[in-house]
Amino acid sequence: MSTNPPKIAELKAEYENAPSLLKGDSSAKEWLDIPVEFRDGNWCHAAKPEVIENLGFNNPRKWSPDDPDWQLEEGWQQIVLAGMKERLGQFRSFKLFMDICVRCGACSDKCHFFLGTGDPKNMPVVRAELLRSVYRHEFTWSGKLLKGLVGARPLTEEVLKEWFMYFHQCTECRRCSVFCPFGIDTAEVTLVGRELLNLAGANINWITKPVSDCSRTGNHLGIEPHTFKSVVESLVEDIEDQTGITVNPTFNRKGAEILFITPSGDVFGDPGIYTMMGYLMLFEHIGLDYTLSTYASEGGNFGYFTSNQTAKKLNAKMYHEAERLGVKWILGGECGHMWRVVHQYMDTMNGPADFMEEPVSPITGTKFRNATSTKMVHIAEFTADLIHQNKLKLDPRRNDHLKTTFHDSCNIARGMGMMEEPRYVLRNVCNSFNEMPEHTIREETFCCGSGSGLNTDEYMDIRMRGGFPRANAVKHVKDKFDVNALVAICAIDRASLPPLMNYWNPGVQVYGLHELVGNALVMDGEEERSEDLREDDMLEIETESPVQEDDA
Amino acid sequence: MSSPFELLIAQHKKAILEQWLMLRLGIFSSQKKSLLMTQTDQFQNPIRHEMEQGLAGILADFENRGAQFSEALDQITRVLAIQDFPPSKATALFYELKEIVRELAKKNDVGFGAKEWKKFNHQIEQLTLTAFDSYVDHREKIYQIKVDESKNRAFMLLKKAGL
Repeated sequence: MSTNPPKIAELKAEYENAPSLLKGDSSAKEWLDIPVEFRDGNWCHAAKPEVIENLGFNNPRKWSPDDPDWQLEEGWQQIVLAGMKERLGQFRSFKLFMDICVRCGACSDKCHFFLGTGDPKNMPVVRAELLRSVYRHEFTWSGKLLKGLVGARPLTEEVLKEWFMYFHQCTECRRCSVFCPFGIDTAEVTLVGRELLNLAGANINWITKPVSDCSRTGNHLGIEPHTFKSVVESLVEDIEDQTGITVNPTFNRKGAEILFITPSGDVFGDPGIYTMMGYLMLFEHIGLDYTLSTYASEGGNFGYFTSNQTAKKLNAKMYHEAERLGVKWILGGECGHMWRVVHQYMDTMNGPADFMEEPVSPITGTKFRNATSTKMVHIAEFTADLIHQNKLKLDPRRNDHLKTTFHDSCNIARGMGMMEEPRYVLRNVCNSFNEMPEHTIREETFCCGSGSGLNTDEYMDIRMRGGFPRANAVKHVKDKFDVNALVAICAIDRASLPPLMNYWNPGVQVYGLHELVGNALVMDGEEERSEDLREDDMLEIETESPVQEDDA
Repeated sequence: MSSPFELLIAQHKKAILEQWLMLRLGIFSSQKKSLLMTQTDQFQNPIRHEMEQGLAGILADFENRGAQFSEALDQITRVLAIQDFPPSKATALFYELKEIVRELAKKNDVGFGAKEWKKFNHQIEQLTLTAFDSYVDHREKIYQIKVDESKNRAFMLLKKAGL
């Protein structure tokens, strides 16, 4: 980003003279002919050369997306087109999605980026068309012969810049695919689009740096084992300060029954750490035989936002660690895209995990048959089962200072179809739960606007636009029910919704589901609690009122 | 007592709102019938919804610039401050209102004296400066959010380092 703000004359010239789909001077032009404009706030920093070298990707160099010359290597078009050809053969879905769209328009107003910007290129149909136009030009007879008449165009540097702009204004949330009569999954188009960008050396640092870190230390922040352990231990101290209970997590313990893996954001970031405290308290309360791994110290997978190979590579550590430690099954924390990878790809990417057993809750005996193949259970279904079997002592009044609503994370709701379990847990740990309007939740949920590796600060303007539809629905329940707590089960949500709320709905704080579980949990031998896990005052509770009893 | 302009606005609130809203949405898209203009569902088109609510709030409260006015103006500038438009375009909304009122006065054959025009112009200028303040507040908020986010992301590491 430039150091100095633009001068007034520059701003005026930029707005008046440069063509854009959003301005009045584009009427005589085809949308394909309108070049993209990179301006502060609408692009992410380019990947640093050392990161690209670490990963062995193409064309490491120092560059910036707002440079006129991107320093692309000689013959980059051939590399990208060969990559496209390879993927058309490899992924039947991609080939199908390039051919079958009839431009019915059902998806056009379903994307949160379109709704927050009004930019026609953010209509999912048009975003996919950015790639389709090149596909037609290179791989179909009609495109080769009729060219522009059938919407075909050659791959140029301008086209590549357009891909860079708009495949980074798609969070792979798949809301549009819910409405497509053909089931076209624009997320998969974006996945391939980003793979092709990587081939051309047009990567962003916010995604590639975590991938590089994760390859080395196992987590996106590049935190080494001793730091990971000491940070978890300081959370243990915080729990002790607040509850008087000492929880005892173990690290890399061979022979534990369960390996627990969660996003590193839960260990290091605010407010994720309070969710982590909730997990640790829950496991102590039920006496779970579990261990944490300092290598599988990241549930998230930014490799998934880069290419299928890097997704596979970063995911592999989960099974490697499970095998090394000899656990029976894996329990996974609150994360979004981690679960899309686990639910839809892990089994075929890195499985079968025959060395583990079908997951069975050691507390309730419930068999998680849905996870028979992957051997990995989502914490929301694990906790929902504990509550359903009456194994937890909970006092939901401890969350009476919170009026909650629930944000369905895209990858959990649409990616793995989990909608009821988190709501069941939430209803049992708090007394005020208020749903957002019908078409903004569950499978039609609006994205936080920062998913798929876009939650970087230089991209704040675009993130605020993309998250606007979600924030608007939260505003509705804030006005109607005085909602002050937005609960989410995704680490990117916990990182990106606080700024979104701070901008659009000041006064609404973001919580993880298990943070509220931790607040409500009545643990044996605990000290009297008057503050929640983030040290905010709870409302005073009348002691004679009954508490839900357990039969454990 | 209300000025003749304020009375005119009060009498034609609905027509002014319609025209003003289209002008404001017009800075997002040059298409006469873009989805931003035609989709009226609150949740499927939040930009239109917020703009309409904000403009209606301003018109309703035009005579008395109290808390409601600031809130309504805030609603509009919050949407505009994160878009690609330059600040001058984003904060020109009261000049648009002036033109609408001028046309309306002409159409309805309502005559005003030079003194009244001067007063109205002054009012529009004041309102524009207020809009500018509100816009800048939101831009500053964005920068503050960036700083906060960087700190929160590595909260535990900063805490361990005693920072």
